Amino acid sequence: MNRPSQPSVAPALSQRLANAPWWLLVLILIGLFAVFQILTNERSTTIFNAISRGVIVTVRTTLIAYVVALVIGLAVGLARTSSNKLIYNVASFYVEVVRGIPMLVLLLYIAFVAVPLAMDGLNRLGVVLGSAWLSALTPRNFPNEWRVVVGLGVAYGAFESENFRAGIQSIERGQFEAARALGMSYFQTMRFVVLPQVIRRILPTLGNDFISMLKDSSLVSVLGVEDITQITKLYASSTFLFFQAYSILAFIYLTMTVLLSRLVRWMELRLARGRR
Amino acid sequence: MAYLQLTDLRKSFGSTVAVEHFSLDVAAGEFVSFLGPSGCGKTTTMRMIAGFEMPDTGRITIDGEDITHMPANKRRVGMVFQSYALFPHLSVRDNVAFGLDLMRMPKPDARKRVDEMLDLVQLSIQADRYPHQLSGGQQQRVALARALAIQPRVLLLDEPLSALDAKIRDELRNEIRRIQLELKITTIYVTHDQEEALALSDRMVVMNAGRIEQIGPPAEIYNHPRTAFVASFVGTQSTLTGALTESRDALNLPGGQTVRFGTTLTHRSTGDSVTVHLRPEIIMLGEGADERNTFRGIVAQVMFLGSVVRLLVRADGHTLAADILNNPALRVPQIGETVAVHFAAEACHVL
Repeated sequence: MNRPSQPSVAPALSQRLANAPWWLLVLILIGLFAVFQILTNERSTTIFNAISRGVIVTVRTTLIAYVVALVIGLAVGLARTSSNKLIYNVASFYVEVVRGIPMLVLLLYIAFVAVPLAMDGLNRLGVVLGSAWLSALTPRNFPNEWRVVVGLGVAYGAFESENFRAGIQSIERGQFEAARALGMSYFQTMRFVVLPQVIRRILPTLGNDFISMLKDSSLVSVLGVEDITQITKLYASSTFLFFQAYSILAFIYLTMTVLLSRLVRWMELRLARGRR
Repeated sequence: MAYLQLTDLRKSFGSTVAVEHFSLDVAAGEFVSFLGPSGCGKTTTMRMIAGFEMPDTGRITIDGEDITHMPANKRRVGMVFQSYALFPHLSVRDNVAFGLDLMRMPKPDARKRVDEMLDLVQLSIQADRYPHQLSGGQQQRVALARALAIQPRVLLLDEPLSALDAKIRDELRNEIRRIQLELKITTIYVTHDQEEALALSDRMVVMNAGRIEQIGPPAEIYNHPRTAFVASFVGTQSTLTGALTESRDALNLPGGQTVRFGTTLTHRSTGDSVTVHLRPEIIMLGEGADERNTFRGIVAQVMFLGSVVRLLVRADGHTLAADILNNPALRVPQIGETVAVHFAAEACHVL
């Protein structure tokens, strides 16, 4: 209870101790120990240097795939709110199928089934069009990293589309109608009235999905892409330094995700403090 | 010729008919309100004018141009919503300027127009605020300015005052009428509040169950309702139903009492069941001359409404509502007290 007549009294020390974020302290201590190890222990330094080469690959694939997912998500999200039954059903088919398949299976499927099929299709198209370039394309022309980007993008596109759909549907009908009455077309209404509000509302979710994606990008190691997980696997099996290698791998992921989730939290607070 | 013309509109949703046989001619600059209970089709009709609903059959023209199937964003019709529907991510100024940007109006002109509009609704000081920083009444003023800025051919107001406090409601009501008269803009006003409709309109359209019950100026609607629905919806009513007497200028109630009314119903025959509608302001306390149209009963309820005090008097199984003008010296009858009430024969409205 607030007692406005008295100056706010600091809660008792015991209570403050009980409420302190102890988990964070433990995490920081482990982190400091890891940093100390990496800096002073020669073997750890070597392992860290070897693994961190892959950080660029991990971050790059995640970022590009995330952009792909956002583009797909926006388009499919709009389609899922469409009154056109054909558009709605095509979009829903995609979302339901993708959401029902495990991420790992989806990645394997896209890399080993969808990409070769697409190449085959392009080859045939090349024959029809008489394009030597198209007919000569083979799945080898499609590097693993691209397949990963497509795979993660398609998978997360389904999740993001649900965010956009929910966001669009949370905007009251009057907003659409007011915009229409003022002379806006469907796309202008979306662009200038609806989406600015939707993005505000779903920004925290979008941020959290970026973090999930960063973590799920570790799955791409099964396709032989040299991200941090793949490098660690290779390193550990050749040196048998499983404990150090995987500990450092976990530490690198944790550092990235904790920093990002702080960023998302900050963003959320800013939005909550600002306008609706 | 009528400026806004609605011809035999019909709209159904599934098997429910929302509006049918709706025809109305609105003159340029006229203020017409659609009045009726919820579900009567008044909002659906307005939404057809706005282009948010397409009529199944019928025609809508503005200034001779057929807009029946024109998309909403091409109609140049201003709309104000019950929920304000301001764009929360834009400032007051940007909200009002929104439609002008779309029309590609040059910036200086647009700025001047926005200033005029904000001035008109008396919100110039709040121009750089955001909607959530304004009160409900202020938000609705912004919505009005936004709708008017594009110089719409017709202004549509969909229960614009329903979400506001009583005091603000009265204030904004007068404001709306002042602005409408100043701009001479053709206006359709949807409401379920008869007082609003009576106070604002040049003409009213009273609707029930998807159909028009009566069209006319407020005084005509109030004083000469043509159907029992209009009579009961516009103004609180007491009714007395009985058999027409031989002289056809009175009726006999089942309890035996005779009610005289000022007119002779030449087109009805003796014994017909007729109903007399009585407004609370014509029923008075006390006995009438020669005990005419006088009822004795018990006060069942006393409502203090400010300028008037409304009594519900239960007499011979009828409930009569009587308004007496308030004044501090007045002794108001108490609940349970026996009183006499009467009314003039000329004040009866017979249907």
